[in-house]
Amino acid sequence: MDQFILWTVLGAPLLGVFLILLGAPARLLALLATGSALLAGLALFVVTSGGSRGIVDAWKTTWVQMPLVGRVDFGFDVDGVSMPLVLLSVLVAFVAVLFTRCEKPREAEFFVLLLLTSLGATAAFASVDVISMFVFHEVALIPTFILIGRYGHGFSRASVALRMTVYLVLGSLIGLVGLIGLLQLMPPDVRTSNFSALQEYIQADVGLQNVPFWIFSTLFLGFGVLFGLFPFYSWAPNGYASAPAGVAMIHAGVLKNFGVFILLKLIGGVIPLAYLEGVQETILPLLSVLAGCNILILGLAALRQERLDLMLGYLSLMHMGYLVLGILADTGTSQTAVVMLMFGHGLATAALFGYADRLRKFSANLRLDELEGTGVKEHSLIFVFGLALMASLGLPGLAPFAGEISLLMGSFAKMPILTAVAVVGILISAIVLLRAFRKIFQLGGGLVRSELSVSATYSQPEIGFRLGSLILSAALVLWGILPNTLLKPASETVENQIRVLNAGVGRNLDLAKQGGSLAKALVEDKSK
Amino acid sequence: MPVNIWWILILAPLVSASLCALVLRRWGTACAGVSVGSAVLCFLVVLWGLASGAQAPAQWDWLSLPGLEIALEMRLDGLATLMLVVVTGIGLLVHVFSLGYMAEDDAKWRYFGGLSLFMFSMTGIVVSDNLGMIFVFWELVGVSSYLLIGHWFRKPAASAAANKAFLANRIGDVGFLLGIIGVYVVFNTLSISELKAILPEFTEKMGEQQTLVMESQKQEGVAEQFKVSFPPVDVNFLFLLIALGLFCGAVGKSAQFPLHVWLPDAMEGPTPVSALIHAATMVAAGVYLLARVFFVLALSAEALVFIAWIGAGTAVLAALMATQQSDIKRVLAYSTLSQLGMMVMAVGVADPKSAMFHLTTHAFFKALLFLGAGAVIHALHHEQNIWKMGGLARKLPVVFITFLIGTLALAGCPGLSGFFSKDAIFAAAQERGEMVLFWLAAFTALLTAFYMVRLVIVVFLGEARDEHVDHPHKLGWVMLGPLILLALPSLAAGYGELIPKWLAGDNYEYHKHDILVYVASIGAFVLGSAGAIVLYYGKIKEPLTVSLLRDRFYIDEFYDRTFVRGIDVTAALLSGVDRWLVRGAAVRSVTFLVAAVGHFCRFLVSGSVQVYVFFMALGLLVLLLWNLL
Amino acid sequence: MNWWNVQEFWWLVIGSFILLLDVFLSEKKGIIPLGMISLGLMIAALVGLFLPGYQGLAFEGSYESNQITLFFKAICVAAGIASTWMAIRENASKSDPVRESVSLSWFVIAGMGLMASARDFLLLFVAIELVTISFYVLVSLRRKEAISLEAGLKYLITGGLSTAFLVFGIALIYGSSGHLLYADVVSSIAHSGKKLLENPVFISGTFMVLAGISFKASLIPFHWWAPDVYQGAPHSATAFLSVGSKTAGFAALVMLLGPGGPLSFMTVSFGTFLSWIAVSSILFGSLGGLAQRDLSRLIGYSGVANAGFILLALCGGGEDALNAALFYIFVYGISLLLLMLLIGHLSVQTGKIQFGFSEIAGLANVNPTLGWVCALSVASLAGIPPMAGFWAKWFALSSAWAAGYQLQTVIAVIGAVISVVYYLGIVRNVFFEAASDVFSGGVRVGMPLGYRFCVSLLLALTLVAGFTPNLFVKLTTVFQ
Repeated sequence: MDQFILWTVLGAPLLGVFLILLGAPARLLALLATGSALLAGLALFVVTSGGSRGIVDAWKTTWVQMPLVGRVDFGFDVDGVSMPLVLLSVLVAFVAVLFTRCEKPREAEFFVLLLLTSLGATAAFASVDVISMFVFHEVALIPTFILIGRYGHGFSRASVALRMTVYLVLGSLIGLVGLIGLLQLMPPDVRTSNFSALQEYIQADVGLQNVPFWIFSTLFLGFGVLFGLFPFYSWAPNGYASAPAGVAMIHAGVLKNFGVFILLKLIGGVIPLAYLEGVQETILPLLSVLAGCNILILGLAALRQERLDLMLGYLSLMHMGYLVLGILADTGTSQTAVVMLMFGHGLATAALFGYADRLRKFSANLRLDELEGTGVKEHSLIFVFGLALMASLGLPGLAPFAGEISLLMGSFAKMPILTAVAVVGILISAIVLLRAFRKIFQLGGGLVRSELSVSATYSQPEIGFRLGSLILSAALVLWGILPNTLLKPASETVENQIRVLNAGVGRNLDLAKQGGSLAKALVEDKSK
Repeated sequence: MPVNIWWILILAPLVSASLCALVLRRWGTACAGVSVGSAVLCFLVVLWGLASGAQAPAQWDWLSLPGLEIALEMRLDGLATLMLVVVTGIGLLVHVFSLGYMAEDDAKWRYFGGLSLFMFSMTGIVVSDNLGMIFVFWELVGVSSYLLIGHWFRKPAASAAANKAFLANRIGDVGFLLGIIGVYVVFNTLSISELKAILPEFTEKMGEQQTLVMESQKQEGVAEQFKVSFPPVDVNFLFLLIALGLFCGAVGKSAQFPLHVWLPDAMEGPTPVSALIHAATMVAAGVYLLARVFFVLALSAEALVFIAWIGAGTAVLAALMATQQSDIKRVLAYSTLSQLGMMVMAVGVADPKSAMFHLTTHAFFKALLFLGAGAVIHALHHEQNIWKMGGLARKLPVVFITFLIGTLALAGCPGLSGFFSKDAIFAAAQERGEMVLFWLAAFTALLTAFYMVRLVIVVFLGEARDEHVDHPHKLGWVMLGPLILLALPSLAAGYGELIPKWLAGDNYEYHKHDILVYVASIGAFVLGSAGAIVLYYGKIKEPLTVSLLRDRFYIDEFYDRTFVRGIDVTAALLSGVDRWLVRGAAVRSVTFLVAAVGHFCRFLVSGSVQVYVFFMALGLLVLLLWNLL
Repeated sequence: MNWWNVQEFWWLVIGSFILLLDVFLSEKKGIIPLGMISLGLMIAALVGLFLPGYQGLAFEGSYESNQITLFFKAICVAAGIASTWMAIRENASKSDPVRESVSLSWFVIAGMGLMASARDFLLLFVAIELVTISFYVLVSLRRKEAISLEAGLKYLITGGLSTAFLVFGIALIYGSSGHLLYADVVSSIAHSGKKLLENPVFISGTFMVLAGISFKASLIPFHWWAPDVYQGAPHSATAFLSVGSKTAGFAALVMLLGPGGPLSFMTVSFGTFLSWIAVSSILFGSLGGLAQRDLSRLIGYSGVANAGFILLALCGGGEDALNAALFYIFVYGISLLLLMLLIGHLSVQTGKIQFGFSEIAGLANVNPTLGWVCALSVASLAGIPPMAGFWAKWFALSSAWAAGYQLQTVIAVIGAVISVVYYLGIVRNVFFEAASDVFSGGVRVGMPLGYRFCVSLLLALTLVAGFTPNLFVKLTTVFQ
């Protein structure tokens, strides 16, 4: 049953692609495909979030078998870490299709590409193998390129799309070099990129215990480009601003998390920072400075943006700094929190990009000055936009907060300074978002202008938009109130990985919970 | 599992808020009904729960990771139940008052939804036993305050005030969060009960001025344990940081200096909101929090001193500012600031019980005063300038009498509730030996009497100075009723040591205050009110102007010029890094370099076959030489 | 193995037969009958490669046919088929069709086959000359186009020089070792107690031979001709050159450098040296291509870069490296043929001989299918998953890394990223620009059945190789 569900998650969009290619009505079929994937994703959530059954195993087969590169497996499973991301992916995909329309002649192409983009993300998150993860992520590359360049906004969309794609190729190929280096550390007879096999190998000495720190750096910087690590982020804001709504939602909300996800998988399960000699002194401080730059520099740069879409782009990059913090802190709590935060911020970011697109009805270029007060016309938009905004700035009761707070709690003991910076960052995002919200929805100054500019193009939101925003808002609230449903399985998986790692080297990597020693020390001292 | 009635306390307002926001938007009256109904229900639950002695319900896991538990667990001790009574009681009255005050508003769903959201989060703060959960509700309270201040968001001033309030609270919350993280890192739990269990020796000393004295070998042991994950620091310093962090939360929410600037601006919201949130309950949450975690604060003596001085400073500064305001709500707002400062000072001199005592009495009379002001404003068609009022005593007798009761209670007239609670704070300062603080408090009390009497004289006595006064809006019983109901506890809440007993539980013992306390407090009241009568009786415009006080010591302007500007400038500089350094210099130079080398390569492939032949020969030569030599 | 089992022999016979037929067939009949006969025979030749019984030594050890050589030959013959078909289409509607290419293609594939199978320096020389001289003609077949003649001339001169290098190198090797047969050279190295390896004459000879072959494979610093010649030659010849000639060059290289080859004395420094040649080819091809606007010319640069990748894969040495290189050659061959067929097809349809960025602009708007064919083939060349090119690049990089050339791997990756700029530049023009003038004025861009078949076949191969690379990682085992 579980396998059937997982196959529906992946198969429905693929089937949709084929049927659209055969001539079925594109948007309807895209809706059906992503909708059934969403239902299956929810079912997946229900069966896995119970906690007792953390894992859905699915079929897997050998994809490539070659002594040079080892064994690459093609197959999918879901554990507590990947489940939230799969769920996020199908959720955002469905809403992205709901939010998007495309004029007739190229509708089929548009929706096929959109489905492929989101399918790539889902498959990447559910893959059992690090190389196939990489491959599935890249599947989305050409579709996004064409979607942005062909269906995007703005005059320079073609060059923006080109720049973005080249940048992402750069990142993924550098990451690939890191992966090659990692795999080449193993002797050819056991070489594999399958995660569970790698986990098993941890217990036997196959060379992964002494990963040179520069392989780690290559991995981190390469995949860092994919999620916009400072200073390799400049592809993102313009890219998202130029992309059609659905693409911006899927890319910024889901696909961008892939870089973090694969690093989390690697550092959490295969090469914990403690294995890496010299990391603590060399690359780790550098990386934490970069994460701090993500939070502070890009956060404040967001404050200076004059266009809503660019602002959201910078803000979504800023949030990536938190994820880096969680990875670098490398405690069980922080790793679990990273998963939750990816889910929460992914939802909020996707929602904000989707709503920003709705605001194009009021101002085609989304300049905040032109938007001034215009949003006030649409009450439902104020409500859902405000909700997503509050989620994005970390309001309790909405999905990102649970991740944020557990991340900060879990990271502080290991990286106090960066955590403090991250806490300050919460304030920055509040300033940025509230300022934008006030400009768009509260100031009255733009009312007159809005009456002029809006009347020509304005129309009531469609049922698709209403349904989509309802789903996003409901998801933000639901997983804000019940974060445990996602955190528990994620935590079980992470703790299990830590157990395996500790058993593997026969030493305590001290990855589990941190802190708590002071009080215990006091009590113990007293009893002596 | 039997359903525990305490859950209703949290769920009823939540359901009401959701109904208002999602279902009943088009039906404002229904929203009002649902919201008031939930408030009634809450109040009844509190009364019934207290009467029946119902146990707190089992905890509900909100977030549970190995080593990190943030669960909704209720802690219903004297502190919490007292606060519950205040919150639900005043909340109910304000809800009822709002029925009249907001009768003509066209976005009732937003208003009453916001009120219910506030009730939900405020009761959450009060009952929570977990610092993480307190933070959750803490933030939610901030949001409901943001929504309610910005209720009339089309007024630029209102939306600006809402933003300011939210951000100032966020600044405080940043510190608060760091403090909570500190607690978690040091004690590995966020549960207040567990903290108390872990630190039994500290809880015993609660209220005394003694703090943890670490013996040297203990410190070494701790440092050893901590070295793994933390740079070895002085434990006392850690405790100081934690205490200051937690205090930051209170500074933001209770609008203490230097984050006090948002509260006066928050008066842009509807007046019942000011009464409920920005006078009686939410802003008092900071003080409540300090009382809640006092045993943690008490670990650091330095922190307590700091807290006391911040409180006293706020009290004096705000009282000074209040003397020169001409907006009826602003006077009350500064007075709130000042009283909150007194409470914080009380915590700082290690007497959180008297802080809570004052909090309770203050909640009653300040809510009363705000609702009275609201009634005046409503009656005068939204006129708020006190110099356009006058002579209202004859037109609005009920309002006048209740307002007067509130004023006397606030000014510390002997016999009224405020007198007793204020004396408790004076006594605490005096017993602690902090005589400077004591005299500052007395000076504050003097100023309080001065500006409150001034307010009453200018608003209610003398001649009418505006035509609105002659034709006041009629006030219904939904508005007058709450005034009367609030006047009763304002009169009587100080008697019988009822509230201190409630707070202390079984181990309450009465002790007499020093005579100096009474001298100072009665003297301050007499001098202050006498001064105000002499100065203001019969005047038709402000007789003396001190622009420094009227303009709030130019603190807002200072912030605008420094912090707001500073953030803008920093943002400009850092986005310069983004724009010029990264996107400009770095990316462009790389692309330029690549393109330039590309052009060079192309240039080499010149199309001239002689050149090709030359290069081939040269290439071979180089290869040969390289490999032969 | 008997001489009649040597397939190249029969290819030469067929080529001569077709040449005769060309002479006797009336001009008026055009190219189609002759071309179709040739095409059918060439397909048969390709099928013949897969039949059992064609492996072994012949001509007293100077010719060897094995699974690896058969693989190379299959690629070359496939390129020949594509080239012949393109040539037929290029000339089908002309009043004065050029039919020489039909028979010349046979000589070329025979030469290429011999390059792969040669186990004797003399045979190698003859084979290379057979290929080169035939190409002199093929390149300049558009006799009325100055650019084509110029290309032919350039190819002639630079090719002549490389032949000179080759033959002089062979002479030096013969002079120092006294042998021409690979096996004999190897044994004389062994007998000399490796002294021969330190003999400057022998080393010089080695490098000169390598230079001659690098010319075929268009490796630095003997790559200069590629952009000019690719641009000037008819598209059929460009396809043949870029796929076939390069493959044959690598075939010869593999036989010389591979296990048991006469130059297989790869010391560590020699491998490093080759890896740097590879890396500089990659960088040059990637960087130089950035400024190009003509597709054929761009393919010339891209060919230099891809040759670098193949060499990089080979540097590792051993069976794995060879497999990686073979996979790369296979994927590069099918992807590039796909693109060349497209360019040739468009050129025929629009009557435009030069096809550049501005001509191909907006293709996806005119004919979405062709646009996607272009995008997919380019994605495969660029190495973007899930196209086969990704696996090829990954194997090549892994091979280099495994051999210890980490720095070279990183530089190669940077080169790959740079080349993505121009590959995506093609897609950008195809998809994002308005349709160019070429497609206006009633030009219909259709897809004739034959083209449809070829494209479907190649596209299917590319996709299958992308989705199930495991079927292709041991390519040589398909030959019995």
